[in-house]
Amino acid sequence: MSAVRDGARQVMAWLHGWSGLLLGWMLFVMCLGGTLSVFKPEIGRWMRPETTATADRAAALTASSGWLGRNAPNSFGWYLTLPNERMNTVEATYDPGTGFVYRALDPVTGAPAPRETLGGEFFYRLHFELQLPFPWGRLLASLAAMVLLLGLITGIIAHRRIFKDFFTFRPAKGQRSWLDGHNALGVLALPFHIMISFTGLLTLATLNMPWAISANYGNDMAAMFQALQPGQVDRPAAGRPAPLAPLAPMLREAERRFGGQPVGRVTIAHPGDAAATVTMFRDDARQIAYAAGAVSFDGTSGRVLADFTENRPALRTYGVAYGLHLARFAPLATRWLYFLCGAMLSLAVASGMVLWVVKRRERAPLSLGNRIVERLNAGVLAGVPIGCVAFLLANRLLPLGAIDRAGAEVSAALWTAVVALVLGAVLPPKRSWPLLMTILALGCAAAAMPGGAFADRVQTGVSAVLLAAAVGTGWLAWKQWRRPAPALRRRAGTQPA
Amino acid sequence: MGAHLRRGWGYRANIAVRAVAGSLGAYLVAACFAAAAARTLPLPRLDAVIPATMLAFLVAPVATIWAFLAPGPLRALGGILAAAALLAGIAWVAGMPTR
Repeated sequence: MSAVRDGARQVMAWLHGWSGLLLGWMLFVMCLGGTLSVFKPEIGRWMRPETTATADRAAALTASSGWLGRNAPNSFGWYLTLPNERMNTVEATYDPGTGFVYRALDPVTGAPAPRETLGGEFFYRLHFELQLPFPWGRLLASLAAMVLLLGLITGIIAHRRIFKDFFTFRPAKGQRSWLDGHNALGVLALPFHIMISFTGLLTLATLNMPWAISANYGNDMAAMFQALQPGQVDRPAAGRPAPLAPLAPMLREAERRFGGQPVGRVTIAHPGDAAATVTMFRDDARQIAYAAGAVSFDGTSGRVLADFTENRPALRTYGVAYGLHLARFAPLATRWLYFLCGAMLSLAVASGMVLWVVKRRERAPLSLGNRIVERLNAGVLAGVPIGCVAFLLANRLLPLGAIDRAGAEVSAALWTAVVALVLGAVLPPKRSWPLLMTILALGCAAAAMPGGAFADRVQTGVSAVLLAAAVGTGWLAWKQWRRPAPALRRRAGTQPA
Repeated sequence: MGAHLRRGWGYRANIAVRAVAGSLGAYLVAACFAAAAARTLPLPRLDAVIPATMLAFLVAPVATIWAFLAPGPLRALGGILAAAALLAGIAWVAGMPTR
């Protein structure tokens, strides 16, 4: 009667299944968003095909801060990511007087790119904020990450023969095939899955596990953040206006202090104020560690206020763990490995959700709860990718000057996903799955095609991935139209009319 | 769980108690562990926060698993609460570091 008597392995399998069921759909959204975020800069470039100008870091910083000075002078701060080998624009978060916005700025003119879009930032935010307001999205994402880590551990314990299972695949055998596929996807990239869930939890640790911090600092979070990044000076505004000193000399000074390594991110706090502070962070692409060094300048005089390179072993460990999750350090081949492992994790989660239903369907007619799960599976597992494709299509189809164009792209993604969810809910799964997979395949193909799709290497790369996704999902759709799964036929045969 | 299991109220109560112990309880144990480790590790107070937090993320799933493997639901809940109390006690005795 108790869950325990069945032996530890069955208990683990039970825990794996139930905890996965509760947060599986959310995990799927996170895994998909995270996987796409590996190529966040490239997706951003694909989504702004008109903006092809390039400039060096100093010129881009001067141009963008000039534009921001004219158009967002009262922003609390300007948060900039400078161009690098992967991204030609300046990514800026600032407040033009209507609340903070994110825009890609042209590196030559400093003005926002004409095709106003969140670009890859949409998938990046979806990955850990789930389109929910702060802090709820991040808290839910933390919960899902904890369940993912638990699911990986219980999944390993539940396995008797982890090595042998990896080489076992029994195709076209209903439950067995789904189980074999789920196992292979989980086991093949297991070290990646464990690393990414653990480091993912760590990136949100100040929110989801703040108890070590409060044990040692009480409520004095400012002291903690000061100790965490001594290179970043945080001081209040003076309330007196004063012009910002030229930023290019500060950039050169910071790069000299980084031993010739480039600056990646620049924060300008209280621009236009006498106490303006400029902080330059070492580029995250030059070492695994995130935020490995920083130099702060007085914004009006250009004088160095603080200079810090992280050498404390514990904090370097944290920086490396953080950097391993963000993968900004990763050269192209490693990025592809992250992308493939992330795709495998997304598919492991998706196949686990399907397996839950298939396993129960083969034993007996599904209960009401499991029929709901079955329909939600179609709606979420096919519908969320359809929403992502709608985002890309909206980027190509919405007119350039449209009001709140970036927001309209996001709305297109969300409403398309909602329609797919409704289709999944109202249609029987053997109709909704092939229909939604067909829509997904056509959507991928359509998004790959319009204007400028193959203009350069990045445009070609993103479009080629979309076409590959179209072929893959199209093949699945074709198989589903042609021949429903054996279990479906069997069940249809035993069901009363 | 196999269909051979009887799904009576006893079973449901068992699962409910273990679920509470394994979710909220496991997080409580991890939180108390983080606080205790941060205060007792022989490191400067910021440095100590890092291994304490990292290990807490491993303590949580171990506590969850234990809550479902313990001999009985009340034993699971009691064990979780005892572990949390012990760790909270260590953190309290150690006190907040000043440097």
